[in-house]
Formats: sequence, structure tokens, C-alpha cells
Amino acid sequence: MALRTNLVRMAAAAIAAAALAVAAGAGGAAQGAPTAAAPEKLTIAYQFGVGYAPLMIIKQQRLLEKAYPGLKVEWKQLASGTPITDGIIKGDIQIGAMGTGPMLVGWARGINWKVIAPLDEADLWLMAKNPAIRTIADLRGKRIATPTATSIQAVALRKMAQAKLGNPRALDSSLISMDHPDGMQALLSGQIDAHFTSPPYQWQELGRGARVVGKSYGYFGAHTFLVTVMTQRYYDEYRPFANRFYRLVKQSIDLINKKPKTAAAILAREDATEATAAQFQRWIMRKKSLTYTTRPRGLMRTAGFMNRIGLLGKVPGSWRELVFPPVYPTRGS
Amino acid sequence: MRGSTKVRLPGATRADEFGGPVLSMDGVRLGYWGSRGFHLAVEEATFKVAAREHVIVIGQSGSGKSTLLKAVAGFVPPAGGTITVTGRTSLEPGPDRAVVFQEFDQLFPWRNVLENVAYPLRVNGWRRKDAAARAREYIELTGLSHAADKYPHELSGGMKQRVAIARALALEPLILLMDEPFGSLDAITRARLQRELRGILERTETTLFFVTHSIDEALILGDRVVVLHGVPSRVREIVDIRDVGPPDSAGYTEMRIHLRELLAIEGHDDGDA
Amino acid sequence: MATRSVAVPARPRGALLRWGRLPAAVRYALLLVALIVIWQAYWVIKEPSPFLFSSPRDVAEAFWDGWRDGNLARVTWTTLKILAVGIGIGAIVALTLTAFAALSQIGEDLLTMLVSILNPLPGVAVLPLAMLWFGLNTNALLFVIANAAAWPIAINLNTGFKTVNPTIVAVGRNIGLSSRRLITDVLAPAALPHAITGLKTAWAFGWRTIIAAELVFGVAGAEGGLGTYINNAKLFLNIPQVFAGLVTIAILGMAFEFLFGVLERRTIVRWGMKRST
Repeated sequence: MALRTNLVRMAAAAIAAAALAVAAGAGGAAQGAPTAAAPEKLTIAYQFGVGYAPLMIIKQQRLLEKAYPGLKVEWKQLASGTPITDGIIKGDIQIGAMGTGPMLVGWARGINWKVIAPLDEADLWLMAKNPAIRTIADLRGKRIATPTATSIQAVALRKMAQAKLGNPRALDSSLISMDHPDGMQALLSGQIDAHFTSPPYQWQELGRGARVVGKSYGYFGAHTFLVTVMTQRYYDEYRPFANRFYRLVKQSIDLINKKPKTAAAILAREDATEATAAQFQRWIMRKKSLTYTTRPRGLMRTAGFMNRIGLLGKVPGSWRELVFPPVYPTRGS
Repeated sequence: MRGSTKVRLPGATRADEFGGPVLSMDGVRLGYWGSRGFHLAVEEATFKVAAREHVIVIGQSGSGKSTLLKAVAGFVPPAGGTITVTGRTSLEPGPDRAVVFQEFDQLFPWRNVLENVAYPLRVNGWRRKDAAARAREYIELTGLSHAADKYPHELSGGMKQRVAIARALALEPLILLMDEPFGSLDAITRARLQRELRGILERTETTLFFVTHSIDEALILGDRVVVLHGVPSRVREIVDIRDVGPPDSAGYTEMRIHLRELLAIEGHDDGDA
Repeated sequence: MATRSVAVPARPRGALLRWGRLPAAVRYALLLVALIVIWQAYWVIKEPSPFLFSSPRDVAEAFWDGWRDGNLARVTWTTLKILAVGIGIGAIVALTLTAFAALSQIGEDLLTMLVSILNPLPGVAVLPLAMLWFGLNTNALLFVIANAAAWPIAINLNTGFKTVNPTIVAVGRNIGLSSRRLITDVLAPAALPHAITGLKTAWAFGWRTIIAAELVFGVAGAEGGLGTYINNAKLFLNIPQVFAGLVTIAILGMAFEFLFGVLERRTIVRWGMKRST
């Protein structure tokens, strides 16, 4: 690859982009310092749910293209984290957004990736519709749906089982993997007995007559829900870009927290079928169960538990081993 | 009708008890439904078969002789007239009129020789050991003792027909029906089986109803020959051949010519039929 | 399997000649060893990513571990149970329809029509519908397997009944068999070669269908079968375990082929009834 030509080109583009950004006065666009190596094209993959809002804002506002004119960004919204993991392994995807569960599993198996920017913390709820199911104990032998077997929900369910029933595998007999929309439909139609899900689905289920049986915060404390990852190799090759990406995420999160109405409007434009602007606004303001932040929390606790019940082959010495340097100052856990 | 005749006494003895002919054909008309409507095969057949008698029905191909046998066996109902077997007229297929077919594959391939002969006995009420013993008797009678454990696919055509004969005879039928059983065999095997059959029939005092198109076969095996002729066919003549001499005698040759005339066979006499 | 005798003289001596002299078991074993050596060589030389490929040694280890801690045994048994019951249900449906077809024209028509509509449907395509009808439990899988198995059995059995030699049916009636015994003692054994072919086909379809269906079905917990095991292994990025699952499938496939061979040798081969496939 003609690195030098690239460098020159990118430097020129970056300067122009900075000037453009200042002139346009786009809300929140960073003052672009001329960056060194940046990729020519980028594939970012994420999934469904309001938890991915920071990425949706970056996408809708074309913040990456503005920061790096000439950068071709391909956004892929996938139904589960599995193809995202596969894509990163094969090199088709450079930045992937997923839950902490799959991130930890991949890290432990040696994919050599780390978190470049956490997205949010969320209290994940175990929902049930059948009035006969009131406690965890009532779930013995019942059909419970979680996202994939590596999801944080599946892990949280094991923690609940251990805490309340003494055996983390006590509820394993009828676990089913379903993605969130299918799971919600199955719960509401009575095909399954419980659904361990995430925002906004748990709120929608609540509104449609389901009841909360358990909350993940009650067992792990406040903990990170979604993160974005990239491989160490990619980070090393495009360090300034990676740092910039982190800052763009932080910027979007600030927008959500400080100007929720504006943020909601952007989200509604991005995904009109999912919800209206008003609905988005309501969601992103439910701070008690969904907080957007780049500060990772509960990673060590989660990893330790997963390791103890055999879902994780090794544990990190400290949370810093799981993230890239831009995240260090957040004082995570 | 199955089960109504227990095969304990020899067939001829049972026939004697009844008195009168074993088989009586009275004005029998036979046909079948084909693609072009009802096809009459036999216009009229009238004759009787007494106990221990060997009656051969000969006719050209298509003369309805097989149909006649099938009617006696109970596979084809008569379109007219009556078929009476020891006084019974409504005839279902049954072991009292055991059949030996022409095809080699009339044996059950999944049973060995002994089983092929013994199984029909068990079906008719014989106990397993008795059936096996009796089967062995008839297997020996037909010269198959060395092959009792073999499966049909391991046998030659001639041996298969022997098994079929053993099976039919073991049932001690009132009358043994044979439908051109040697037609698919080579000339040497055929000749041998004809001789053996003759001896077996005498030893077992079996009443025989035998269908063929071969005049020589009729002359070797039969007491009387029923000649079917015409389309649809009728019994043209019933010839007594008990006193005809051996094959190299003048009487034999004359009878042969006579039968050929009856069958209205044109052309040169070239040996068979 | 007998050795092939090579008796022609004046042939140049070479590796091929000696190869043919070895007993079949030895030949296959040597080929297998050669394949494993190539596999290991690929692993060592090309160094593919451990997330995409595994070495024979890792797979053997994962395989051994899986059997030792009982997981492979448990999931194999689960899958086989569903398969057996599903094929059983399919066989009963097939038998009923075929008997009906043998006895009446409308039965024959019904069978022909059902076969042409339902046989082409791949089992997995029916699964989402089955999950709606039967719920998210094993019954949905049983339905899919039964559907995959019923039609091959029905087709073959129907052909078997239709092509029974009429002479032995006549013999059966002649010796005095009742209709019921005619079916059990004559028609059934006569149709056995076709029945076995149908069963082999049903097994092959069912086997493929159940593994694929388990992947779609997504059961994650203790109820899972071999397909789920493989899918889970992949989720947890345990690639050797994925291969171990595949090896198990292959071994089971070979085992059942062997069993079918034994069945055939004891029956239709012994009776000279095996049709050349």
C-alpha cells in the first residue's frame, strides 16, 4: 500500500475537513486536528435496540465522514452478535458493537480485541407474562428465552439461579436463544414463559402486560451493557483514528445526555420504523435503567462469575486489560 | 375356503369317501373383462375327473386352458355352467386344489426349501414339528433332501419346480392343478421332471388336472386328454390314452397324429406340440 | 468384504497392484491415516487462524473431553431419540397411507397427491411453521422429522406393494391365507427390499434435517442435541469442539450405514432379494 501517498492525501483531506467542520458549525463536531493514518474504508456493525443510540447518532449525522472526508463507511445492522464476531475475525468488520458477554468470550478465546468505546450501562430485566410466575423459583422447568448463549442476559440468568436456587445451571433445562424482537413476540403470545431482554423491549413488554421477575443490577450492580470493539492490530495501525472514534462516541453520548430532544429527533430520523421521536426521547431519559456512558463498569465482576461457572476460560488481571487507552481515564471497573 | 379341509387323510381317500368324481365341469363358460369389454375364452367345457385319474387339458396358446385351471383353482368365477369339486360348487382358492404354476418364482424367496413346503401346512393347522416332518417326506420324494436348507435364489429352475411340486403335494390336495409347470425348463430337465412326476403321482395316488400345449407331455403324463379347440374354445374331444404304447410304438405315433389333427395344428410335425 | 484376487500374469509390478491385495479394512485405515497426516500438515504449514480451523490433535482432544464429561454422549442421545421417534411417527403415517392406497383407488390418488406436495419440502423449511403450531418444544422437531421420513417410506413401500410378484400372491391365496395373513406373510416380506430402501432414505433425510433444524430451533439449554452442541461450540469460539461435533456426526453416519448393511445381509441379501441400487 502506498502509505506515503495515503498520508499526504489524508493530511490534506483532514485539514479541509477541519475547515469545513468549523464553517458548517455542525453541533458537536470536533475541532479536527490533522490526523495521521486513517483507513480508506470502514465497516461498522451494530445490532438492534436503543442501546446503540450513540452509534445511530454518529451514523445519522455522518460524523465519521465529516471527520474524515473520503472515508467510505459501511454500516451494517445485524440481528445478533455472532456474525459480528465472525466478521471481525475474518477482517470484514473493523468496529463491532456487542454486549459485554460476547466481548469477554472473544477476549478469553484469544481474538485479541479490546473495547474502544463502551456505549451504555443498562439494567436488564427478566420478564414474564404468566401471572403464575412471580419469582425466580417459579421458573424451574419453564421456557426462558435469552439472546445468544454468550449474552450478558444468559450470564445474569445463571447468577440469579445461583443466588436464588443455589445452582447456576438450575434453569438450564429449557433455555432458548431468540433475538429480541422474536423473543418479545413469543413472550406476549405465550409461546415462552420468560424473556430476559434489554431496553427498549423490556419496557415495551412491561407496557403490554408483562411483569419483571428479576433485574440484572440486583445481581451484578450497575454494569456495562453494550460496547464497541476493535482488534489490537487495527488499533495499532490506526491509533489516531481509534482515538477519534472514541471521542465521537463520547460526543454523541454528551448530546444524548444534555440535549435529549435533539438526540431523539436524530434517532427518529435514523430509524423511523422503530419509534417516534417522542418515544425515543422517553427511552433515552429513563436514566435509572439505561445510562449512556463511556465508563465501563462491572466488567471484572462479570468476568469473574463467568469464569467460575465455566463460561470463560480466563479472567483479566484488571479492567484495563479489556479496553484501549482512550478508556483508561474513565476509571472503570 | 380355508381351514375347512384338514389335510390329514390322503386326497384320494377323502375323495373316495365322498364318492363320485373329484372334479365335475358342467357346461362351463369362462371369460374375462379386457380393455375391449368382455372376452369369452371358453365357450363350453364339460368333463369329469375321477379320483386318482390324470387328466391333461391340451390346447394351443390362447385356447383358454389356463383360464380353465384358474377357474377350478377359484381365481376366476365361471360366467356360466358349474364347477363342482367333491360336491361343492362355490369355489374360493384353497389348499384342496393346490396349484403348481409355470413361473419359477412361485416360491417365497425369504423362506428356504423346507420352510416353503412346511409353511403352507402350518397355515392349515399343522403343528410345527409335524409340518416339518411331513415337509421332509415330500422333499425327499422330489429328490431335494440335499437342498432343504437352501434359499430359492440358490436353486436351478428345475429344482424350484420340484419344490413347488413338493409344496403342493404335501398339502394332500383333493386334486393337483398344474399349469404348464415345465414350460420354462430346458428339454433335458423337462424330460426328467416329467418322468419323475409320473412316478410320484402314482406313489401318492394323486388326482391330476394338468394343462399343457405339448402333445408329448400329455402322452407321457396323462390317462385322458381333453382337447380344447376354437376361439372361443370348446372341448372338441376327450381321448383315452391309457392303452397307448411306449413312445417308439406305432400306437403312440398314431395317437400323436390324431391329437395333432384335433388341435388343428398345420404344417410339419417338428417335435414339440 | 472379500479381497479382490489379482490373478493376471505379466502385469507390471507396482504400488497399485500391491494396494489391491490388502484387505479392505487395512486399505481404508491407511487412507484415513493419510488424510489425517495431510490435515496436520496443513495446520502446521499454513497456520490457519484457530478461529477458522483446528489441528487433528486439538479435535481429538476436544472429542475425547466431550465424551469423557458426558456432554457428547448426552447430546447424541438427545438427537437420536428425536430422530427415532420422528422416523417412527413418519413410518406409521406412511404405513397407514400405503395400506389405504393398496386397498382403494382414492387411497392411491391421495397418496400420490400428498407425496408430490409434501415430499419436495425440505424439512427445515417446515420448521418455522411447525414451531408456530406445536410451540417451541420437541414436538415441532418431531413433526419436521416425521415429515422428512414419511414420504420416502411411503413412496418406496407403495412401489414395493405394487410390484409384488402376483404369482406368489396367487400362491398365498391358493394355500388358504386370509387377507390379513396375506398382507403380513406375503406382501410385507415381498416388499421388504423397498421398505429397507425407504427406511435408509428416511434415515438419511432425517439425520440431515435434525441437525439443521436444531440450529434453527436455537434451544440452548440441557435439552439440546448434537446440532445445538456444534452451534454452541461455535458461539463460544471453541472451534475444536465444533470439529469434534462434526466428527461425531460422521462416525454416527458410518455406524448406521454399517447397521443397515447388517440388516440387509441378514435379510434381503440372504434371500437373494437385494435390488441393485
